[in-house]
Amino acid sequence: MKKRRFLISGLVAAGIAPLPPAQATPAGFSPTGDGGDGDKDEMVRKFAQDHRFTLAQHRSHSSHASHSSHRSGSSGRARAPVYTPPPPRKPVTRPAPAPTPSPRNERSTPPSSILPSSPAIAPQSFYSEPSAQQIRDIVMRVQISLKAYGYYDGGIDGMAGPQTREALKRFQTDYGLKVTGTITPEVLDAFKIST
Amino acid sequence: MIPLVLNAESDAEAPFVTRLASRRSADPRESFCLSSTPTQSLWCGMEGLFTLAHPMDALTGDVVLVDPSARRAERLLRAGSPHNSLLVTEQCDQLCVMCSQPPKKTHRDRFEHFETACRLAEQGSVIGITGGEPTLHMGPLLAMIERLLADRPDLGFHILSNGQHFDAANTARLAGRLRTNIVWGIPLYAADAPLHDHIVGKPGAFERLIASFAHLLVAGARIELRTVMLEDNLDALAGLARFVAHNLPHIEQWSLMGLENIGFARRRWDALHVDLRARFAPVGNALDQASLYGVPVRLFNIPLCHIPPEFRDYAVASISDWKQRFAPACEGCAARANCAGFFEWHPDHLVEKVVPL
Amino acid sequence: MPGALDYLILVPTLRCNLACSYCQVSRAAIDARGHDWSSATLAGVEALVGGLTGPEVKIEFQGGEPTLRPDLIRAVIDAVPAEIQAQFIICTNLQTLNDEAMALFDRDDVQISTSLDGPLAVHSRQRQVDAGEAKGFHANLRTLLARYGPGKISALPTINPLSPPDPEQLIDSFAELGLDSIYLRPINYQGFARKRHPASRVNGDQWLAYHAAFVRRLIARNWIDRSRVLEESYFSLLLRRIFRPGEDRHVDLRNPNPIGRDYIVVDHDGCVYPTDEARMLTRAGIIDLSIGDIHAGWDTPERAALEAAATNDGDPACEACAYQPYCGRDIIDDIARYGRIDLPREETDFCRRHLYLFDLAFELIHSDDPAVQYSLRRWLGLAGETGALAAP
Repeated sequence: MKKRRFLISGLVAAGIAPLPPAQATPAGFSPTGDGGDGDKDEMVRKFAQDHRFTLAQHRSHSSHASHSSHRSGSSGRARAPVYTPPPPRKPVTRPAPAPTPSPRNERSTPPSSILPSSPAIAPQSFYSEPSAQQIRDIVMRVQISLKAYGYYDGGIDGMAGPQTREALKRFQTDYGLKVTGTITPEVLDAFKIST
Repeated sequence: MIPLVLNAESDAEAPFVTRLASRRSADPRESFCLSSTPTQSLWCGMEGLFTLAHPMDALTGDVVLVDPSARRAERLLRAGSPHNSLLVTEQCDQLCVMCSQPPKKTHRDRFEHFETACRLAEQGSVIGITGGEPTLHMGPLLAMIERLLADRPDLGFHILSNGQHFDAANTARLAGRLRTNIVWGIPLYAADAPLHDHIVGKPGAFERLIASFAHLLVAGARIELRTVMLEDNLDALAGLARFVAHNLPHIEQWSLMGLENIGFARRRWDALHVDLRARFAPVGNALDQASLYGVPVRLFNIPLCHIPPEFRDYAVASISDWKQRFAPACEGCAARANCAGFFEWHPDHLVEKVVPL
Repeated sequence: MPGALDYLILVPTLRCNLACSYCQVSRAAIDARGHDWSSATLAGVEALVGGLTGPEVKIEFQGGEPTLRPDLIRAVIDAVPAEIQAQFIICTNLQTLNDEAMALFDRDDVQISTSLDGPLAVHSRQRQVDAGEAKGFHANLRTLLARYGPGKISALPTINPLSPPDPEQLIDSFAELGLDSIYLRPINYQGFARKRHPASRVNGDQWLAYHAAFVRRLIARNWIDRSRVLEESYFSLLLRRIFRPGEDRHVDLRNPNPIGRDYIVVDHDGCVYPTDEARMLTRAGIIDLSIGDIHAGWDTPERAALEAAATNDGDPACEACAYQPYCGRDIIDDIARYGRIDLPREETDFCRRHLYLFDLAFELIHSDDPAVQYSLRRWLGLAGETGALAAP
């Protein structure tokens, strides 16, 4: 602002004392208004119980309409508290919720007697044989390939036993693959095995 | 009901954690799907081949713990779910009257697998940590989270704890890197020590809990206070609200929760359960007292039609993504999308007690 | 303890299409030059807004009449980083509605704030407009209310404390528009108001009595008609501060009152002020209260000096006052009225006004009248009727 004359010549004339430099805010008071020592400031805010703003960013703590703090302008553009719950509840735009009460038993499998039966939790034993068979088929093809490459002289039994693992390790070492002793995607590629 | 444990076959030598990808990726921690039917899928990764008794589409993106000798796999982190939680122990030093997960004596340490799983979690996930009482293994638990946050500062943790094991030795650690990324979910049932101790089944628990709150306050830790509404503490809720407002105003949220018909609560249901349709007044009083003093308070696990209209705004919609259940009469309810519904295991005859809005 | 900057008042132009008798900001004529943001100032504001760290920000556009420059408003809105939850408030006299302004109003993140001085006659007298223009404003207000409902629009009256409108009429003029929240704002002793309304320097007992009568009138009406809750927003704020010590985001009433930290005003020339009132005092030539500018920042000795003074801690009168924990400190108000801040507190208008209102608040909190308790509970955002407000 241009230099101009004011009725009151300055802050001191209004009874506002200048601060000795040491007491002034530390430098770094940037246009973003950050005091510099962000972490300490945050800690102080924590203890100053200024949670509400922090809270809004936390997940499940979507602010409660009637009680969310609102500020108003210097000229008092306060908005009225919301007295009646605004039906339909607005979807929370911020990412996902956090503390949803009751995860305590999420890992528990409730007694089956009180649970509706769904295909997803129906007894799976019927399928377990074929699934093992599927693995065995691939293991057998790997064993055949290992044998053809001269790494394996055990039986073609579809069981990834110690001998098969050893053979896989030697094969993986020689061919510059990651050495795991298991049938990795690289091994399938090398033997051109697809399902 | 979303299945959390799947039958599995694997020729790996030891249990391992991997993330399930629909297609081959360069990440050695991922396994990709070789084939899938509506009932099972075949996967291949660094740990070899394994099958899961579930189709690929339902599993893609999940982080699983495959246990070859037990022939099963646990879906530790389900893709897209905000309700994933890790059960770190089944030991507990309280014995709450309504415990949904009655404790066991032995402990199986699975922190290594959990750590691997968390590293594979989706960006910005909040991961629940439950028990038993997780802080019985405070050292390994905090160490795991510290290591994780060093590499994955985007992760958040919500840890359910009875608050019996915080002391001055923890505070510096909790005030450090852990502070902003952990919310402690801690139960408090009454402002009256004998009543609280009775409910949690441990003499002296209240006093120890209050000491813990002091240590957590010094650490600036984030706290969600949790109170299950029971026959025993219903009339003490308003007093508890004032206690919270005056002594624990720094908490982030006070969650008032409906009882779950599971664990100990199943056989004590009639003695513990409160029908809020008939007796909401003490809860309303508590909500008002808390709000009066600016304590952020919410209601969980209660269907909207059991809450008087003027208090419905306090209710949080969903119990979780897989435990929600509705009555046939809920079909025509206008508020259903905003309603918590019932737990999957809520007593059948009570599920019918709804009034479509 | 304030957080990062999350509340800005921006004055993109000082020009206005009205000349209200109490204009607080020495507005410029509609066709005047050099009273809008320069491109350099706009760039500075965009950089400031673009560098906000969130998670939330509230940006209020004041004037002048900000809708004269919708392009500047849009530029600011576009500069807010996507991850920040922003709320914009456009303070407008609603004298004219054009397509560009409507396009802004239509946004979900935009709120509208306007002035409604009560019945049409009072409004047109104070706004110095003819009856036709006043009708135009009313028509525009009704158009917007019909389009958006009352939730998006707030209106506040500016009241001449020497001849306040009949409370009932004032309440009616808001209620009939569906506006439940009324902020009783006496004419501010600043800007042009200083010259034309010298008596507004001190809000006498007459004003305080009016405020109390107004609150009691609202209580009576709320009790009779339970279908809606009318409130006087400043009294509601006092009530909330009594019960909730953390409720300190109302910048007129907090203690200490941080300066230039979480809240600033950027004027049409890029000067930065701690509050809108500080801007007005400076514009009116009373005292220079600018704390910096948009380019060089505002971490200045002036800011530090103002902040150090903006507290009621240590003041002998305040320390002895039962209401100190709920009260605040507004040094700009003191300067506006008395030219200085070091008067004995109890001699200031701020102190007398708040003593009176807190007295009223506690009288009502302890009242046995169910009508009083009913309104107070609604104003405090409580849902039910059980449990006493007053400590047992």
